[in-house]
Amino acid sequence: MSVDELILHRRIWRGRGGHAACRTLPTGFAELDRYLPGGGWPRDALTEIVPERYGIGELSLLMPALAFLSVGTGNPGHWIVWVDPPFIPYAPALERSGIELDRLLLVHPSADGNAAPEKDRSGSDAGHNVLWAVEQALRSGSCAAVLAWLESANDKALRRLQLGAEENACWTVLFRPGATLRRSSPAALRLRLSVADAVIRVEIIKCRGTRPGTVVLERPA
Amino acid sequence: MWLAVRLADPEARQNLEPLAVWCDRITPLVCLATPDSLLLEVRGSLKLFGGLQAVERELATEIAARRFSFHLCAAPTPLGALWLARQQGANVLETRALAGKLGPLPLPVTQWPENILTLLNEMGIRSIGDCLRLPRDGFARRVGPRYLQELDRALARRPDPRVAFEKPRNFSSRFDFPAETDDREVLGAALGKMVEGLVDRLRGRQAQARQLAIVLHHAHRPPTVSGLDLTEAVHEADRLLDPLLARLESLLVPAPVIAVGLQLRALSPMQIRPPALFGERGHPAGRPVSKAGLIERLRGRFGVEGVCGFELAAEHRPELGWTRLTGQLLETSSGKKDPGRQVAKERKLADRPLWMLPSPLPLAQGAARFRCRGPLRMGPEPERIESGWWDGGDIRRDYFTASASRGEKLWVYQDRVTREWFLHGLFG
Repeated sequence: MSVDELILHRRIWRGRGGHAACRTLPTGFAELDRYLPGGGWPRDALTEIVPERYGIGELSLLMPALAFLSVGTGNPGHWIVWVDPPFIPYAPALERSGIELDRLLLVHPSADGNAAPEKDRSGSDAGHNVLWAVEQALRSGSCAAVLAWLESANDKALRRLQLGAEENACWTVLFRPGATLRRSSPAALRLRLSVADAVIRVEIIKCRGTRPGTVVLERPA
Repeated sequence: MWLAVRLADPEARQNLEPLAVWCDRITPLVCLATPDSLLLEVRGSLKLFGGLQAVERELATEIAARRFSFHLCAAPTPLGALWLARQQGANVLETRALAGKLGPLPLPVTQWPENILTLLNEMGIRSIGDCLRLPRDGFARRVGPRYLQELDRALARRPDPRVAFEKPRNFSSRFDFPAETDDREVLGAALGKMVEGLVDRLRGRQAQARQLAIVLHHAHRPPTVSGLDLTEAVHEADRLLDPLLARLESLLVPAPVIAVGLQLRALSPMQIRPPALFGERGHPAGRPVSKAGLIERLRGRFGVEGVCGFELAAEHRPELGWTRLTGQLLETSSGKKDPGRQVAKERKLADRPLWMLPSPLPLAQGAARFRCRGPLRMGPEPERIESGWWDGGDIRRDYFTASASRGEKLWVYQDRVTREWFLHGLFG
């Protein structure tokens, strides 16, 4: 293996700007693209997003990239899977953002009438089901993106997801509650979102290939 | 050319039918010769398998795997093969040699009724050869024309058409455990075994499974039944087993299980898409990508309702602006679009929130739930939606986009009848 190859390897840290080789997905926000290494969301890695509250633009941040994935033809994956969203992703609004609806798959791990109902109510088991669903989606190799709302997960499980995302080139976004920020995570990118007036503050807590910082984005209409 | 398969052990003979189903892969014409044998017409299969010995080897391997003791014998006529097999005779390949080989066989191999055998025995006739030496008209008169015809059929002097074994349409299998168990691995292994039988059955019928059911039998309570709809009809063992195991894992087992059953509830004719020349659309890890496989696996665990797609509906009422698509998720993606969808698509889409609440919440309750404090600033122009008076779902609402003091954007409405305010969505 030559030095050139070695230096391009993902696991070699080369400081700011050294990661042209990693595959990315344009975010659709110029400021964010400029900040993130490779100019976009890390395509085959785990991204963790911690929104301060719901309804502050946490979904609209992802819409341009999802629209790009859903109409793109060069993707190995087909599905864009939503695992256990807290509310109903509203189809007309998604359509308006340019997403092809027939690529979307909504998975509700606790909605099953057949399975053990009383088991699913306990938090850890619901989390277990979400993890299971995400892992299946990654492993199947038929997904372009997976979005999951995950309350609790241990480090080992997250690492498995990170590996799954890497191997299957699937953009994986986990929405996590604020308390999880105190613990470390194997995710390649961790963001905290807050909102002020008409802007979204994107705090980059951790990012492979660059330093933590803050990006302020116009809130999309 | 007929091949007789005789099971020596009377206990094993109740397994003739499953074996007949399996033999379907050797020849389409399999006949049951009760109580002990199967007859296979193998002339057409000799070339495919590469000779009689290869066919026999194939059969012998399978029957040995089922732990039956058996004897195989080939002859040009079905009865000839059957009678020779009952006496453990050698193969007879030519019609000319039949009379010579069948002659020495004792009469009981024919399994004629007891009184006929006694009658012949009392006449001093011990073997088939003795019968053949009797005058034909005398034999027919004294013993019965039916038995003369049987002799003729065995010697190929008379055609012997046979009816093929009709394979059962449905599949239902049951595995009894020696003791009660609730170990899911044991249950899974039993299911795996049954899926093999199911795959054989499907292959025999040239069909694919659409709907399955797992039945868990308990000692002192009614069985637990769990149905499983498959997104795409399948016939491969691993693609059948995967969703079954996922379902099993999520199934609440109320009591120890004494037996597990697998039922095939619906099937469809086999349709095999030829694989693409360069494989399916490429996957980085080099594995085939199956769009339906994921849905099946998720549904196996979370049920049909747990996995759905989206579809737009041509409807002004926000709640009805979309529908949950649970049925044919894949067919819509192949470009088939219904007109309502097109209409909805062409309609200029108004600004809608990305998050919708399952049902509108009274505003005070909603604000408390999402911890919005302070006054809401309402957007300038309300959007009036009045619709549905004709189907009982009458709504009259003024929708506003509202900003909370901490930056959330909400979609709220005022009911024009009651004047109450509701929260309906969040601009996520």
